[in-house]
Amino acid sequence: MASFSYAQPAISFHQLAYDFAAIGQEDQVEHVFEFANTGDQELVIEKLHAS
Amino acid sequence: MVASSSRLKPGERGKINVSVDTRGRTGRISKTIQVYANDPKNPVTKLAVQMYIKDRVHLNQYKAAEIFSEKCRDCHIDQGKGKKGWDLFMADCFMCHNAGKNSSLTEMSKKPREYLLRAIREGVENTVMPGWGAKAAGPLDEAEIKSLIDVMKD
Repeated sequence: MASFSYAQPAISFHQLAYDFAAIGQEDQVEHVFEFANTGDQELVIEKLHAS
Repeated sequence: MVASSSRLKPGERGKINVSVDTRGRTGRISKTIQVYANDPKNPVTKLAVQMYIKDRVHLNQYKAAEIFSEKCRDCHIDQGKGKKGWDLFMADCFMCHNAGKNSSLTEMSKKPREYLLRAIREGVENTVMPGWGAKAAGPLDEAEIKSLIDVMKD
């Protein structure tokens, strides 16, 4: 049997969750999630949605 | 919430910057971020951040009677001055007798009138409830205390 593999983008994150733990009342906290395109085609981030 | 770039070539790296406005918030906060991409295997990736924001004013454990001190009375006592009944309850009682904190109005309304009278006048031992009556050096007179019980037993 022949097997085919198509070129595809692949999103891969280093981590999916981050816990700031206990913090004081700062105005704002920030965290950066890093990711990479580990596929072999262009990866497009279409949208981000926060809830 | 910002993505560094919305198009990545194979092998390229990207960043998603998540910021959470914590002003005026206390307790546990969790946020999730859905990342929609053209990856057929992972069209939506869920990211999550969580934190616990400490209440700066109430970091220490207080004794009940401290509520009448200079430091606390602005919030806990003075707003109820001259008020009665429901208005007094909302000004002086509600910040502690709120959902999830101490006894709620519903719980208190199930107690007998006599118990409530004594609890408000003299306080409740081993809790943060101080005695509000004159004998306990509290700020409320008998008419004000009775007006609170009328709110609960309405």
